[in-house]
Amino acid sequence: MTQSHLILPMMLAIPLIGAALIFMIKPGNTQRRGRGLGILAFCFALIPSLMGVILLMRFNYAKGGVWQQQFVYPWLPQFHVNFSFGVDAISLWLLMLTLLVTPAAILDAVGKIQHRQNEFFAWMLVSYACMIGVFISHDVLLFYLFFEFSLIPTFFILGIWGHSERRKAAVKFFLYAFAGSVLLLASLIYLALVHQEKFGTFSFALADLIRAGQSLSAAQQGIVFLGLLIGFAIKVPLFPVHTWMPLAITESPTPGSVMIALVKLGAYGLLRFAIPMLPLAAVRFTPWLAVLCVISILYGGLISWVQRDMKKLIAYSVLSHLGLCILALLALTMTGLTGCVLVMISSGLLAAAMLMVMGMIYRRYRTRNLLEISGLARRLPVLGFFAVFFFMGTAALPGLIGFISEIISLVGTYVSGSAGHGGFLGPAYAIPAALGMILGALYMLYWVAHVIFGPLVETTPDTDTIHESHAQAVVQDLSLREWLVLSPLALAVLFLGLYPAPVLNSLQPAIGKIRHEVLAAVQENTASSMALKTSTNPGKHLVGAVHNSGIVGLVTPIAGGSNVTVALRLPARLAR
Amino acid sequence: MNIPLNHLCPEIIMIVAACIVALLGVAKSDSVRRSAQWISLISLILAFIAGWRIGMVDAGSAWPLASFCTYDTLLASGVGILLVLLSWDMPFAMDPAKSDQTFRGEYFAMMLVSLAGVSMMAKVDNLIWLFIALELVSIPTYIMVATGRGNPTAQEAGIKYFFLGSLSAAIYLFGFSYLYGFSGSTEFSKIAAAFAASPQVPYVAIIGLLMVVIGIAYKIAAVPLHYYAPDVYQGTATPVTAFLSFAPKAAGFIALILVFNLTGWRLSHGAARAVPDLLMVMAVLSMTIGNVLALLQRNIKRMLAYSSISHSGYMLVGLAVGPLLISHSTTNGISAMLFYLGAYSIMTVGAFAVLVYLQGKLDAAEDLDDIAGIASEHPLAAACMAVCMLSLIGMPFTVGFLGKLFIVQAAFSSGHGVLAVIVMINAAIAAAYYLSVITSMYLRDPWTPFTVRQPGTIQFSAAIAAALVVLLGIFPSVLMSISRYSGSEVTKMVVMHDPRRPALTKTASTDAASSNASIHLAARVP
Repeated sequence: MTQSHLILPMMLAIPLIGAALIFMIKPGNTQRRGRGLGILAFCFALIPSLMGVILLMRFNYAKGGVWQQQFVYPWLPQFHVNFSFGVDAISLWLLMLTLLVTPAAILDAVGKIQHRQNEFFAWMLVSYACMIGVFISHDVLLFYLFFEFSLIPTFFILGIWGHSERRKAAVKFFLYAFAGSVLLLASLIYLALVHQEKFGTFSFALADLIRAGQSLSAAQQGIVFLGLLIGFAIKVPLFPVHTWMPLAITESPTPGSVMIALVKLGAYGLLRFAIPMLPLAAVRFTPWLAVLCVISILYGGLISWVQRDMKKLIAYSVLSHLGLCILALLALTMTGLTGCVLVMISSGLLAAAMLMVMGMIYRRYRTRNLLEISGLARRLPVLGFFAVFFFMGTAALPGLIGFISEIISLVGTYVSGSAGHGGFLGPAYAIPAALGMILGALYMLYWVAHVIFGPLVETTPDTDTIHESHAQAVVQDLSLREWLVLSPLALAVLFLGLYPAPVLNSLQPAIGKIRHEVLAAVQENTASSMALKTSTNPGKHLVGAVHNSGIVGLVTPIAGGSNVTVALRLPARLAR
Repeated sequence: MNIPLNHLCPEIIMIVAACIVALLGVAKSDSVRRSAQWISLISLILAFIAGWRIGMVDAGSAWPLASFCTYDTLLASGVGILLVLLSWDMPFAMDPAKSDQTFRGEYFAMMLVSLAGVSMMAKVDNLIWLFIALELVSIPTYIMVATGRGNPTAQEAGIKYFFLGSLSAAIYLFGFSYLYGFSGSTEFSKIAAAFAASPQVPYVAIIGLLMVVIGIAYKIAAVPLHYYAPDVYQGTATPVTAFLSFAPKAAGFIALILVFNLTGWRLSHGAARAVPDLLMVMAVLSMTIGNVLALLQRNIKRMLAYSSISHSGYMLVGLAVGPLLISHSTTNGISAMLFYLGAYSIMTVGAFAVLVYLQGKLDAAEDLDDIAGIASEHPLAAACMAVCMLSLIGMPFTVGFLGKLFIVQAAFSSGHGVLAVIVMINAAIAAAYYLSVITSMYLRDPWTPFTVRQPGTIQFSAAIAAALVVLLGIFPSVLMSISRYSGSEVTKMVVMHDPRRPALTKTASTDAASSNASIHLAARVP
């Protein structure tokens, strides 16, 4: 707090400056001009990413639970609202995810936008800035501002450059999210006032709101929690309020759907705000929420099994992964919470990558229908490779990040509630969730087998209007630019799958802090009917969890001295 | 009025300018008549500067409502500048379909008189003056509604507005007579003393207050006296609509604050509870009915009429919550309401400015279809409209967001959590129709491309409004501090008149709010 670091506010400012600049450049009619705008936007998006590398080097991983690189500037001094930025391990890794994927998404869109290019790239950069802002905000009101403001760029990207149902999708997206977030705001204001009443100052600082929320009785927490929950559950999305998401992802242009699928604002909000602020209510609602999560997982799995639209397939698989993410969060074991963050990262990465692959296929064949194309590996071997790679990642192939995140989440849920782990879920939730993941593997493999390795079937769109020469040009394999877009994502998927130790280790203190806050509050307040034993050493939980769960055959320490273990047998079965 | 003459300087400037404009407006030469807008504009700017200077001098003086008066003057003259800019060409000189093409100066004279009434409102200290100020605001608007546009719908709107307006004036005047009957004086200080002296607020006074509230509810277009608003807003010329959405509303709210000041805000006990209860019921109904009916509209002016009803509801929440609860860092109901009033005025006038601008062709740009796809041809106008709409929705980084934030906060901190939640739910409903305007402008293809030949001032005023919406949304300190000071002055009225509370020693601190820190939030129901 004593020293102000400028790196985070600069990360936020640069895309905004870029957006203003690009917005003012007239796109003209030439394709070249639009391409130039795109490249310019890409440069502006890349600068924060490079600053992200500096951030990675500066970050003190041993103190992952502490907010680092802080910057504080008073905004509304009368209300004690500050421009207060900082990162701890959780936000650091989610920020890195954003910084990695968004430039790729912008690069992917270069030259592919047909009209109003300046506005498009400006909105992309604004959206980027919002995502950065969400993860670096240390003040809850500031978080809310970015959280809410991020609706606007997405609304325009979806509504102007989307597919045929774009208007309906955009309006539905906006109204759903807005309706949820107004109640969220009301709850936050209420908590800030509670803080004022009980501790003297009106404040939206995270620590203050956590203190205020925990000071409430269980019944009051329940009401406030409902407000937060509605906002975040719509954003996650969870089962009954998910309908905006498949529509939005399907109708959006590729970069827009990447932005929607990439950022797990709802899950982040639940993890960072709702659960620590209102632990009693969270625990009370846990069984209900967990059921919704399981429904999300199974429902997402089943729908995407029979889904014939490529983008909808991804959307429902995201739904299913997010169900798992929240389920692991609710498990409230160290393993589960780690899994939750990892699922956010892996699902964001993989969904973004898959959506971009889909976009590349769509650009070549003008169809999203899985039945109209197959056997692409013969025509497009490189694209086929990437497709298989990312789909295997989603189907939890060991060695890729999808596997690590899913197995840790499932184990975390399974052991939750058993002695020595705390938490309130258990096998009853983990087993249906695992079933959902098997479903996921099924549909992914079916899809890959069909589209990539089946007999070669191609459609060329509008055969009447497109000349033979164009049709030939359409089905070329990856261009250099597309290589550049996909390869960093593929590397990240592979690297984190093989060596997740740095992420996992640095997450432990941050997660341990949240978990400790929650369980301590619960232990203080609830009756002894729920047997709770929190351990003071959170680091041991992961190993203990994996050992005790009884479903693990082979335990492989990945990094020397790391407490990360990976189980191989179960996912092998899953992936079959 | 028992205040120094120099405090009335802004109003005097406006009235004098109004007289000059009215005289010039009947001149034969068109160019002389057209000097009317310039004179109006300059006089309003002068009034703004004068109000600002007086406010500077007055800060911390003995004048009990100094900031409140300054706020009122600045609001009236500041928004007045925007209104003059957007009605630069009244009535539309380029409209070939109309026989009545001549530019008339008297429109601006009416406008200045009405604005002078708004500006004077906070300074009155007598029921008679209060009535005069209210009528000074209203009577010119009757004329503006009827003559602003040459077609029969404007006449209909004018008649409707006039008759109902007179009726409402009769009602609140009748209410004033009860207050007089209770206290034996029309002077504010004596009425306040009478209220302070009586242990219970007597029924006579309560009936008077209720009648005043009902009468003024017409001015602010609150349910159940809102029926005229959609027809009048739609029927009259758009610049007049913009004026109607600001002047009577601001005047009405300020008048209500003054009237409640008389009672010392001792309205939370016994039979006097009827007044805040009525306000709350009106607030909830205004918000809900306004927003729900706005959802059904295709005509933008009608939609904005319902939207202005709903925004009156939000402000009534602030009024119903009242000034009783203030502590070091939060707003109270009155400062929240005053902040919202400023925010609402700017964003709604900005929205109307864009509509005026788009009416290059006859009466186009009234329907949602008319503005389809204008973003490609009129990017600046569309952007201004979008900013104002987002602010009316309450999106972050706009002034509308902060307005809602303060209102909700005030409602929560006084224990009216349900009211706060209703405000938020209404914000969500409202998002749907404001968004439909943005959807129409940005996401649809142009319907009929039309060129706009309008004076640049109209777009200028829209741009100023949009810029203010964003700037005040990010750096709200100017609007926030003046509304907070005003709110805390109103709170002092409570302290002075309520015998149950010990009078606070006056501190020399410039932060007026801090002197009230000792009044703590009492009886907060979570």
